[in-house]
Amino acid sequence: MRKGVMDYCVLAILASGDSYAPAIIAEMKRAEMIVVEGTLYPILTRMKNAGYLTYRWEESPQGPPRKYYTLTDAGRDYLASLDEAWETLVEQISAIRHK
Amino acid sequence: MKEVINVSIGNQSFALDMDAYRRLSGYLADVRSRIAENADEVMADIEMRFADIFHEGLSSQRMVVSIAMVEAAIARMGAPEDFGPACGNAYETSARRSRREWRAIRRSRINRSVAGVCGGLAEFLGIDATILRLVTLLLILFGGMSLWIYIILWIVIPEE
Repeated sequence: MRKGVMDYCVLAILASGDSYAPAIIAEMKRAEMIVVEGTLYPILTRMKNAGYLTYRWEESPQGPPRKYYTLTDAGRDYLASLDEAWETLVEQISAIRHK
Repeated sequence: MKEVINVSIGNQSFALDMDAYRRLSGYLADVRSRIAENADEVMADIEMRFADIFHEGLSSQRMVVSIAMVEAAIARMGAPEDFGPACGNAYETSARRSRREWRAIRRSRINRSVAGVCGGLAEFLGIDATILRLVTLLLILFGGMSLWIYIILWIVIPEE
């Protein structure tokens, strides 16, 4: 469950623009989704290999080039289905809780 | 004064204190052993991030990465347990285990006063050769140890 939610968060962050790992981490930390950085890397690589993300190398102002991740079309479709599933889930849970 | 080791982390060169190096390489091996898929790629990303973090912490390229910096970076990246249970991907740790060297008893060529028996034994046992020689001499003179024991060892133990 938590793993799926993490995937959802990463896709949602990338939907609003390309980003690189430390920036994604900062975003997720702000939302208190993750507390440690390292666990993001296995997620990014897994979703890249599943075809939801791609990356390109981009020069950074200081230091070595960075991996910038982008959503693919498959990633967008997957995100749309996750959005839908999330809405349904929230409705179902609130229907039960407010009975 | 501390010994420093030069390593490449995420394709960048860093100088690490010996204890910082041991801590970091142990950590990376532990994390790798817990990553089930694409371990090489994920570890490369993680190393890149360590390089970033060290870069932030060093005011000049000539400064040395200390154990405190390694600990701080590990605290940010997360404990190995956060990456899940170990899954037998640990080639680095098993390689380290097999590196234990095997030592043989040899009569010393350099450290010898008669035939190198005491010098060689002392090297093998990791004790001072002069003390071993004194003890042997006292045992032969007053302790009733036969001189033949020395001669037999001379014959049995091969020279370096």
